[in-house]
Amino acid sequence: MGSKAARWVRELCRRAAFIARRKQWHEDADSEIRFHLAMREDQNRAAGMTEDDARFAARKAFGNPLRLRDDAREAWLGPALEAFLMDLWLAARGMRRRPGYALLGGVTLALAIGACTAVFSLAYAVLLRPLPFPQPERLVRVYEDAAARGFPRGDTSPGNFRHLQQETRSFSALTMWHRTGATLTGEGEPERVDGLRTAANFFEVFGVAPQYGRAFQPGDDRPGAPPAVILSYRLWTRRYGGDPALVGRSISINDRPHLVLGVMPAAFSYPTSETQFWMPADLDARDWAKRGLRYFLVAGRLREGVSPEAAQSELDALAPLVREADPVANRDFRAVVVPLRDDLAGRAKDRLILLTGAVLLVLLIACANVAHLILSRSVRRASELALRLSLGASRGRLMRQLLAESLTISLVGGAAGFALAAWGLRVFAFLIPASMADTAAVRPDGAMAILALALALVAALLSGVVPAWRLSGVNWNESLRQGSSRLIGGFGQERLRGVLVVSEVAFAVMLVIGATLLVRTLLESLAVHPGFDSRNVLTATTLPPAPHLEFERRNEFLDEALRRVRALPGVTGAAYMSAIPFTWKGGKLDFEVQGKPRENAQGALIRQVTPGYFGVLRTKLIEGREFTGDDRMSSEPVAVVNRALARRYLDGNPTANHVRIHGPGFDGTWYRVVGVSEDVLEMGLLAAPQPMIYLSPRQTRADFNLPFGLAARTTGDPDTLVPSLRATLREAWPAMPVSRVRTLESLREAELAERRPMAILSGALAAVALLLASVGVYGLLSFTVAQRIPEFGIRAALGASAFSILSSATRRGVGLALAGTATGVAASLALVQLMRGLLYGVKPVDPMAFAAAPVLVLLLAMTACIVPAWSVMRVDPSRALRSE
Amino acid sequence: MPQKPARDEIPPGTLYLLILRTLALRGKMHGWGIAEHIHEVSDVLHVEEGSLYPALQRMLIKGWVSAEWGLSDNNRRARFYSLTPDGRRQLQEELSQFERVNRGILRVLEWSGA
Repeated sequence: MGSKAARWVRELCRRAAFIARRKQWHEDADSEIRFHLAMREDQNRAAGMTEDDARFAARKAFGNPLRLRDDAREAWLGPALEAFLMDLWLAARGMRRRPGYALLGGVTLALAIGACTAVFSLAYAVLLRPLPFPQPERLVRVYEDAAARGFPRGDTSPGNFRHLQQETRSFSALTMWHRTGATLTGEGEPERVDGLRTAANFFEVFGVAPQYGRAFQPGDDRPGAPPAVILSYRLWTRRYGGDPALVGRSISINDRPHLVLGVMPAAFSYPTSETQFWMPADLDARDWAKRGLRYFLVAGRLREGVSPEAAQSELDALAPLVREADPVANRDFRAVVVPLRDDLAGRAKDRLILLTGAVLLVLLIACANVAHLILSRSVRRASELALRLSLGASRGRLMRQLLAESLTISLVGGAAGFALAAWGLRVFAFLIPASMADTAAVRPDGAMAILALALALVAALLSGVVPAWRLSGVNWNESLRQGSSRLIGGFGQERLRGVLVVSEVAFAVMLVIGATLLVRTLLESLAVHPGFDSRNVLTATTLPPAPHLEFERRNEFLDEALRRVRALPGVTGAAYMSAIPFTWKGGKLDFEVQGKPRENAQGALIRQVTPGYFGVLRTKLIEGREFTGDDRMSSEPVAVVNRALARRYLDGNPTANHVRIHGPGFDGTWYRVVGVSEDVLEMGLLAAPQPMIYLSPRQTRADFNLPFGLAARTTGDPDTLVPSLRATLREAWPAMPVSRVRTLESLREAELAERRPMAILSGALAAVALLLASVGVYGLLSFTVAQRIPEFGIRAALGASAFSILSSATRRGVGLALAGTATGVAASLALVQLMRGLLYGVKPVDPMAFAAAPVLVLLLAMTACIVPAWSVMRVDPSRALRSE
Repeated sequence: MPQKPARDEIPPGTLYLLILRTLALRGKMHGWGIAEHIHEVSDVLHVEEGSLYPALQRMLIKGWVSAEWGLSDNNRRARFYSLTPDGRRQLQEELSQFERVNRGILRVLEWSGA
């Protein structure tokens, strides 16, 4: 049996090879025939014939060489394929004669196939293409579930990481890292780059070795180990000229020499393409013991055969022990295991699945429209089809010919669709999450072309099979005798077209409802007040001249920088803050309200801001005052809290309360609340406001987050101030890197980065769907109406009113549109629940979307009905009657 | 004019067998050679060009024979066919089938009512 299959495959390969080398084959066949003729001539001459007789007799004996060649060719191609190629050729020729028909179908399918190709390619790259690590399915991330504090996937602490590392059996290795920045000095401009500090087994977990040099070894991360670094390929080529001799030498990072241990290959950029270096973690035993300070990110490689679910249950079983180890810091400890792929894809997964569904619906609508087209046109070709049938063409033969037609249109659409998709990849690129910018890059390539071709074949089948089946089964002779204008009814075409229209309208309704929800989400997010006025504010991140600034030096630095920036023309105010809003979604510490048990608090975001911060950002103070220059170490320690904290944790007059913070650098000082500000949405525009405590950097020795965030309010367009701001800061501290100079407005925009294109894209898809569905309804109605013109003529002649004729002409179309709308709404009710994660400010079953979308679709469908019906009204009854 | 050779039709289905057998005995041959061989040896069978070449093509597809270009005895370029291992197997099959059928036919013809 197996050998039989193998023989069949080999035979197929030989046939394919024949098709590929057709031209060579024809030449071979010709020369073989020539040889045969020559031999026959020789024989004839030997028998005593004259030269001419010999040749003539040879030819005569041979028969028709062309016929022979064709017979032999058919042996290779098989009669079916041979005939089908002929059909394709005929169809293509037919299209050339009616370019409008082919163009309409081709454009429709090109749009749909283009959208499908682009979205499918991206979905494959993001959701399915293997990650560039060995056995990537065994890689997982481990988070602390801190959903109660607003982080369903929260960082963990050194103590908890150690605990898990020692107690779990599910992982062959568990590693950690935390983000850090580095100032590169030495050769060239000083430069600030992002990187990681990792455990020594980081690269072992991901299973990727450096391209040059070595990975970290156990002990590289022990306290007091000599500083070392592994560079990204990108940084190595850009800053160090790609010199392999750099490995083993020292470079200056944060003004200290670091030994370059290795350079990673270009393909390795975990966790993001922004990661430029990896350094060993430099924690001492005290750091490792901390359980309440959460800043570790954790990844692990599962043991062979251990599923992420099994690892999750092991961690769940372990959780009570971790909670017991520190009942305060680990009050509600729970660890969650997330497969690396899901972690990287994140929300993009929902978006891609939603868009995949949307483009499939558009493809279905497009196919329905092309099916309409083929049906309409074939009616005009009734006599041709009837003739072929009466001459003995089989039903299969006719079907093949009709299929060849849809195939031709689809192939044209597929080719144009591929071009569209290649261009559209840029439009759709926002679907690739930043964390996968390198691994999920999509370029138009052979695989994408094959995808477009496959989609074209599917479209050909979808749009061709049903009409082909219907039409080839018609008794055309009967139809012909009835007159060609009557061809539409009588053989179920009417019903078929009805089904097509109902499904088109239903699909369009679903798309419009989905798009309305996404557009409403965008509008809702745009309307969100972030807690500050983002217009005319320029932000920058700067580093102090030395990485570890003493308290006094730090404040001198802040004061001096602010003095210079405020002096710039066009700047009305400036302030420093430990993090510019939206740029650091962390920094939560436990706090305590005087006179209340500590268990009540869920942690608050702690930010240090210089006097004037609230004025510069125009964050309103609901009560009390903000920091002034008079708040110093020697005066009463004060704090500003936000409304979310005051409402949740402070009773009565908020400014009568004292708070203190538990965390590194905080010495237990009680700060009196002197002001309550409105909520600033630090965690993101669409995230719930978190409790916040603001302190002045003059009143705490705790670390000011590095790098420092600077914001300046300007009188005019903040972009024009970028050069002078850079120059001013550079002038003051030549070695100080200034990075990420951006307007606050652009940061706010970035928060909406994926929502805007998602809304626009889904809106565009819905518009295309609406248009196509309307064309479908219009096509059906103009046909049935044209067919009934004589009937309307009689009615008009008998005195029927214009209105009754109009309503009778449109009744069917409106009925179908209504049926389609009802179906679409019913299907949407179930499907919108899947969109929940992508919505903000609207419920999935949004009354507006569910009422407006169907109304819009119905209106369009009815317009499409009325246009052809209107033409009936202007028909001269006597002419209509004669047309019978 | 030479005398027209006697022409008897080749029974349907046996052309493959004849070609396979010819190639098995005489090795590499071109189409003309195969036709001539069958004609000469049988004295009566004449292979039509219109059946020979399509048959050879079908045998190429089946993988029973392989073809290569070479020079004929009188220095003309010709396509030479030779048997493949698959073709050898096929010959055995066709031979035993032919014998079975022949025996059957003979039995019918020789039967004289027992």
